[in-house]
Order: sequence, then C-alpha cells, then structure tokens
Amino acid sequence: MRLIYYTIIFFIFPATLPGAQETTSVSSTEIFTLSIYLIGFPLFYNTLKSVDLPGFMYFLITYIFLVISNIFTVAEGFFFPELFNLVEHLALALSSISMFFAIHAFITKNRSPGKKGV
Amino acid sequence: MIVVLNIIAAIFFLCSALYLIINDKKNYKSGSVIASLLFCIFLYLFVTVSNALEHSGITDFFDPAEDIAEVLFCLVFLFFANTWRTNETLNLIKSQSEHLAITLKSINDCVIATDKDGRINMMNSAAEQVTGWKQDEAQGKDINSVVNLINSKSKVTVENPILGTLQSGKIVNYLYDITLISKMDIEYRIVMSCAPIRYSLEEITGAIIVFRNITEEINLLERLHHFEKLDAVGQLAGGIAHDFNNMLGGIIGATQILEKKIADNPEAKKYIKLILEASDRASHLVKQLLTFGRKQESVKKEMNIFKPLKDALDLLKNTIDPRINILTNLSSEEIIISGDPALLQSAFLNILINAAQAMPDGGNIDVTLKKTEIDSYYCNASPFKINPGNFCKIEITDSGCGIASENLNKIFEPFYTTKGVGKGTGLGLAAVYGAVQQHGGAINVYSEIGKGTRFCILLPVVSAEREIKIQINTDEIRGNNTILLVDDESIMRVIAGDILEDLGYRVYIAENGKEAVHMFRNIYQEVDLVILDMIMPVMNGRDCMVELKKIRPDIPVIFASGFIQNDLIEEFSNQVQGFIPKPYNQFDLSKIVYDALHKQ
Repeated sequence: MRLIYYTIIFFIFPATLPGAQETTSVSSTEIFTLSIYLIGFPLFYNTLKSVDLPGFMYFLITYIFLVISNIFTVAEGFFFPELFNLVEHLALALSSISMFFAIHAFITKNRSPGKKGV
Repeated sequence: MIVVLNIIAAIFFLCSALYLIINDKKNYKSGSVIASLLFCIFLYLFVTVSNALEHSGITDFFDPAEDIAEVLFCLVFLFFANTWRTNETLNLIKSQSEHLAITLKSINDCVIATDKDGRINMMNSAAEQVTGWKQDEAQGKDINSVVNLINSKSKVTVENPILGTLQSGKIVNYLYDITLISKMDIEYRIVMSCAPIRYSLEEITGAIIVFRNITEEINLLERLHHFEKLDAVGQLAGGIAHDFNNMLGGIIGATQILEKKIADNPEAKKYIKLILEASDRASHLVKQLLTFGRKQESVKKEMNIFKPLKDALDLLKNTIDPRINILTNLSSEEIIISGDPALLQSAFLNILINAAQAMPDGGNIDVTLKKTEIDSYYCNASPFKINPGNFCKIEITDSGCGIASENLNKIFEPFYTTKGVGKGTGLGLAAVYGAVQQHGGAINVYSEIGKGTRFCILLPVVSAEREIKIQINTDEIRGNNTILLVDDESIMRVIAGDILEDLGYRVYIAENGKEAVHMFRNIYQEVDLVILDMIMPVMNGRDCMVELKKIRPDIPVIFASGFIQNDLIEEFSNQVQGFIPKPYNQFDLSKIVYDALHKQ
C-alpha cells in the first residue's frame, strides 16, 4: 500500500500538475530500476534479518541510500531537476561510504549498529 | 559538485573493493559470497565513474549501461544475501550436528542407535569401549551381533530389547540381571533402556539403546554385603564368646580352687592341669572370636608400627621352611599408630603363617611398609569405615598357590578354612579382620591362582605417643576388706566369691543390680569395694553404679565384663577404679581388687 501511495505522491501526482508535461524527462528504465530496488528491499531485508550478517545495518543503509538515489533520479525528471539531481548523487556518495563501512564490518566481523555480527 | 560527489563515491567503492580483495583470504567463507559482493561494488563503481565522466563532459558513452548496472546490482545483491543466509544455515546445521556428536561422545553411558531393521548406524565412545566394537566396524551390523546379552544368573542368551521396541514402539527397560559379552568375551553387568526413534507418531525410523556398565557398582555392592555379613557374624560370635567367657571363668576359677584343695593328690592334680590347659586353649579361641567381633579388650597405645611387624617377621623366620625367602622393604620413617602391639603382631603373624603355608615348595614373601595418603574417593569406595588422611600401608605378598576367586570372599569368615581337619581353626584371618577393624583400618586381599596372594592392610596414622591403658598381671595379693560382688551368672558368683574369700576378703553377693542396691542400703558402711558385672538383667552395671554412688558417692567400683570396649573404658575411667575382663583368674582379680582399694 505504501509503495502505491508513494508512487502516486512522487510520480503520478507531480505529472498531473500544470506545466509538468514540459519538464518531464523521466525514462522508463529509471522507473523500472526504481521498481526493482523497491521490490528488492523487503526481499533483501527478510533474507538477512534472521541471520547474523556482519555489518547488516551498514548494508541496509547502503541499500536505502541507493533506493533514495533512484527515487530522486525519477523525481528529477518531474521537478527541481538540478536540486534532485544533486540529492541523487549525494545519496550515491553516501551509499558508497556506507558500503565501505559495511565491508569493513563484514571483514572484521564486528557487530554492526543494531544488529548482531559474527 | 556532482562530479566531485561521483568521484568520492567511486573512491569509496574502489576502496571497498580493494579492502575486500585484500582481506578476503582471511575471511573467505564462500567464493560466491565474496564474488557477488565484489561484483556489486564494481557495478556501482562503474555507475559512479560513468556519472563522473558524463557530468564532466568527457563522454556519455557508458550512460546506457548505467541503468543495467543498477538493476544488476540489485539482483546480485539479493543473490549475495541469499547465499550468505544459505551458508549461515549450513554452518549452523554443521555446528549443531558437531555439538550433538560431541555431546553424544561425552556421555558416559553407552548409546547405540539403529535403523528400523535393527542395524547399527551410530554408537558413542562409551559403547565402543564396552562392546569392544568400533563405530566403523559396527556400522550396518545387526544389533544382536554387537550387543550380545545374557542373563547374569542363568547365563541364557537374552533377546535384545531393541527388536521388541522396533516392533511394539514401546520403551523397554532392563534394570538388573543383564550381562553384556563384549567382542573380547569380557562380561559387563549392565542396566539398559531402549526407546523407539520416531519422526512422526506412526512411523518408527529406528531405536536407540542406552546402557550403563555397572560391573564396578555390583562388585562393590557384593563386597559391601559380604562385609556386612561378616559384621553380623562378628556380632554373633562376640555374643557367644561372652557367654563362653562366663562359663570358662567358672571352669578356670573352680579348677584353681580345686587345685588348692587337693594339693596332696598328685593324680588329681594331673587332670586339673589338663582341664586348665584345655580351658586356656578355649580361652585363646574365644579371644580370637572376640577379636573378630571387635569385642576384645585391647590395650591401645601410640606406637611405631614397625615394631610389631618386625617382631612377627623375626618370629616367622625361625619357624618356616628355609626355602621360603622373606624380602622386606620397610620404611625407615617412624610411622606412629594408635594400636595394640600384641594384637597387631598376632594379626601380622597370622597372615605371614598363611603365606608360608601357601608355599609348601618354597617361594618368596614380600613385606612392605610405607606411609600413604588416602583420599575421600578411596574412602567412599571402600567397604570399611575409614576417613581420608595418612595411613600406614602394610603389604604382605606371597608367591604361593593363590586363593580361588570363589573362596576369596570367605577367607575372613570365622571357621572358614581350606586346611585339613585339625590343622586350622579358621579363626586366624577372621581375627586379623577384626583386629584391623578394631584399629579403624581396612584390609584388602588380591589373589590369583598359581601366582600368589597379596594382603594390603591400611591403619590410620597418628602423630604423638600417648599410652591409654596398661594392665600388668602380677602375683596374687591378699586382703581383708569387704566386697560386694554383683553378677547375674551363678557360676561367676560362686567362683569369684570363693576366690575373693580365699584371698581373705569378706564377700557379699547379689544376683543383679536391683538386689545389689537393696543390699547396699543396709551394708554401705562396711563395704569397701563393689565388683559389678556390666551386662545384667533387671538393672545393668552402669545403672547400678549410679544408684550405689547416690547412697555412697565414694564407694570404689570395678566393672567386670566378657567384652570391655575402649569407648566404655574412656567413658567411665573417672567413675570406676578398674575394669576386669572375663574370664579372669585369681591373680588378675587379686591385683585389680588391691589396686582399686588402694587408689583410695
């Protein structure tokens, strides 16, 4: 339900706004990629929440930043293209930092915040 | 700005990839886990580099592949997560099965599992040890060929309960009388339980058999029962010996009086001498019985155990077959025990004589003496009531014919002998047993037919030397005092009365404590001493003494009894002037009466 709700808020509703047609330059591949990430999130979360993946929380944060990045990739096609583009790349940069910590935790078998490690 | 952000992201992704590559050797768990994670990182490294190139205006050649890379990342990342989870689950199952296997191996009880056809598919270390079969050898074999059961008493083969369990699905317990014969034909007494293995309510997939080797416990229990039986026999023997003592006292006393009265008849004196000699031998036998029953009065003092052992060895050396070598290894350390030297010497001599007699063609007798420490584990396992601490250990080993295992349990029983008629009383080792117990020690015997026998005696060690009681016989001492003699045995009353009168004393006689108290009320001023039998009907010696002391607190009292125990001596040593064991002769009586009167 939330997925439908946010899809309406972010994609369908902005597209109906006056002048939106002129600014919309979203590609179908971007929407498809975002869909894959959103569908993949519960699968990823449910797969790993029951086992002790070292750095689980960092991996989760990385994934969330990537989802955010994809959301803003789509969103920039509708409005605030420059700002949202910046946010998209900022999320990507943050996901890379989080990925580094995730790899560190994974390698050193330390406990990641909020989740047991090995 | 966007270019910078992408460069930062690319650097971090690159660092992550390198970090993973450098360290994956240490933490390598699964190729697919690391590879998929690495692939994920490289996908986003590609995306960020592509973005940086695009936004810096260099090229947008890689732009179409970016979305593919992002989608691919998501899929590979899911693959990574799933692979990790699978690996973790497998590791968990592996560690759990390892833990289960270790737990099973650590169980001290024997555990064997079979399939539904009764073929072994698992056995633990304890089961391997008892059955003599290794897991690899037994695997797939029928349970009956590995666990061979017989009835302990009838020796008839018993069907393995596992087969019944597999058929009925019920738990079967065999709690006693079951013996397992191992691969090496060793018999183990066991208790066992058998239960079905079910994965669902209906389906029985196998059975599990759990059994415990209780051979040691059974042996210990049998030994304990045996020693309890010996104790009971000892009590009985002690009781009989007490009555015999009274009778012997009468015979000896009467004969001694008679000897004086017919001093001018040498023919009669010859027979009197025979009576006295026979009585003496009978008295010696009774003494041994009392020693076995631990009711013999012992003169305990703190002494070096070396002396009675050395004395016994010296005595033996002069009397045995010269083909027998006596080898000694006696500790030079002074080992002090609280004991009766004469009793111990007699005990050692008994064992040594038996050892010598077990070697008619010569051989060796090894005698060792050393100090040892006994722990609580040994004490708990021992059928004797001994406490942990320092003990002296005396081992007497012969290389003789040995004792058959079925006779080993009987050797301490009174009147048990394998010697011919008239050659042994069967009281020697019974007296040894009693003497050791009287000293708070333990005795064990190990024997093998054709190889020899080893007696191991343990006696508790003390530190200082302190004499508890010394009693010396001297010549008869006469007197003219008045004595109240209290004894329930008519023979003893007559004989002791006559002896005392013969010694010059004036004697009042009472049959029991009550009569003595009644009589004492009238004559307490003229009575100088009371001789009280300890065990009497109506009122015993102890109660009688209390009543007499109420009438006249300073009245001297002597206790007489067929068995005077050390704890009784210690309890009454302040209240009475002496103790005299029965049977007594006129010399002993005169001495103790004189001492008691002159202690005043």
